[in-house]
Amino acid sequence: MAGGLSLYQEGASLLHRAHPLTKGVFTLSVIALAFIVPSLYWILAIALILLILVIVAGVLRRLIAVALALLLPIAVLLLAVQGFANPANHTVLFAIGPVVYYTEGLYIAAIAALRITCLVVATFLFSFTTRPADITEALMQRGLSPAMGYVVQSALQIIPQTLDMAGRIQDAQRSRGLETEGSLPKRARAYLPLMLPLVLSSLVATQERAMALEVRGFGLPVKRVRRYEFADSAVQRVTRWALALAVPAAIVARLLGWK
Amino acid sequence: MPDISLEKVLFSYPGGVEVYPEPGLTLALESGVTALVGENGAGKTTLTKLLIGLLRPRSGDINVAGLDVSKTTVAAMAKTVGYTFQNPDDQLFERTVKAEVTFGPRVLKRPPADVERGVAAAIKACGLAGKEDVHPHDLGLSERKWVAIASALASEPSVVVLDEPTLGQDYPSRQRLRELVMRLGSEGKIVLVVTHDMDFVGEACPTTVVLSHGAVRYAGPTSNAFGDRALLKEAGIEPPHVTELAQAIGLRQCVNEAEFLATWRR
Ligand SMILES: Nc1ncnc2c1ncn2[C@@H]1O[C@H](COP(=O)(O)OP(=O)(O)OP(=O)(O)O)[C@@H](O)[C@H]1O
Ligand SMILES: [Mg+2]
Repeated sequence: MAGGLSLYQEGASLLHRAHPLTKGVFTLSVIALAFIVPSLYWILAIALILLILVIVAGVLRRLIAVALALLLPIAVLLLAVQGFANPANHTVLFAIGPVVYYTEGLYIAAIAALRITCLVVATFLFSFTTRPADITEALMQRGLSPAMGYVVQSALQIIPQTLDMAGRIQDAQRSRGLETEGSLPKRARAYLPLMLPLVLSSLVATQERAMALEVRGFGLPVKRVRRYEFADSAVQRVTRWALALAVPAAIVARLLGWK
Repeated sequence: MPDISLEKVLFSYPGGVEVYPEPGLTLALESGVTALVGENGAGKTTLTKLLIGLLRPRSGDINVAGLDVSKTTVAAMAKTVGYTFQNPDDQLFERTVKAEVTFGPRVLKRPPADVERGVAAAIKACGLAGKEDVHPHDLGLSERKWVAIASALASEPSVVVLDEPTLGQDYPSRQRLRELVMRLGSEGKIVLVVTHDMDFVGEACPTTVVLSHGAVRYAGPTSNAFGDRALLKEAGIEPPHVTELAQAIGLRQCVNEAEFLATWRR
């Protein structure tokens, strides 16, 4: 099922088939690199790689929906605030009457917006192509304790679970007359009645999950059986190491004056 | 013009199969009480959600009480349609029964006097008097169902859609539900009741729609539906016990106890 408890979308692409650890390392390093590399061009290169992978994974349409809802408002806000009001501003790009827009602000905003875009896109790309259970399973096969595995699993479920619950509460509220569609002010006003029930039912859900785990004998001192093996390869192992090493390398390069 | 009409409606869940086979679902309902019956997964809940716009068809037209659903937001539909979810936990989100029931008329900005009247009437009709300050989650399934029904009725809608209100109801509760549904019908409202309880259909619903594998197999008087053995079998329906009893002892077709007794005495 698409909604349910994860954002995972069934598929057979290269990304779907990759080892969960490879995807995990890739996601974390790409996000780190997007924030470490110094110039707009480097960030654009990372964004381009992500875009290609999004297309390969066949999740472009879903990602565009996320981008419009999440990234567009952030980008617009950044571009406006920085372009008009960054203290470093001095080169005029254009002026509307007395209001002046500056090149420096535009550049700074573009970098910040692209970094956030990389963060969001990488995270969603990972979530769309990886089953949450597989991440935990892969980590536990590498020696992560079941208790930590559960913590990871829960953390991975927080976003999709909350989205699912928010959708349900909003359906209940609009079916009784609360306007949640249409103009931005209307949707903003529907936000408040959503938040309290959402927080409360999230708490209840967490409690119920803890009880369900205890009932199933979670935490008993028994030896776990592997459910399945993930396909791994030399290429993937090398990729993982390369990506993992690229991050400290980039940090060192920056410290040595990479601009 | 019928009060509810669906015309060649096609719908599928994301990644799922078609719920209604080609050329789509076509159905017309008049005011009064109509039962919507059919096997699990027949597409009953989907149909009710299409009526209020919680689900949007891929193609086809849906009209409810003069409103073109495709051009109306769910919230605007709620002015006319009182909707209860099959699972009350999908519907209830407030912290007290009173707050829950009041939510609808309040956000619809009904005048205070109307809110008070609607809420009081709904709470009374649903047997919730004295439970106004209870948290809905502390109630049992049957009572949560009643809170859900009361919440839908409080804004005094002219169309009432109840998805499996009979589930888990004990005898007095069923009686109350029967009275409520029949009263709404006699007030000239459009009432659509999804249910698996054929005794209830025979007692409270003069009209029946039989849905099976997404197709309308029958729409018309309830008595004719219960007379058609092949139809019932296909839709996984067991007719009311009185209907079977009357058939077994060679009496005329009847759908509820009152009819049975009348036929019997004659
Ligand atoms: N959220 C969903 N995602 C995917 N498929 C769904 C979803 N909800 C229902 N379906 C499928 O759509 C079909 C119609 O479901 P629907 O809920 O309308 O049936 P129903 O007649 O209400 O059944 P029941 O008597 O069990 O409530 C079924 O095959 C069901 O599996
Ligand atoms: Mg249903």
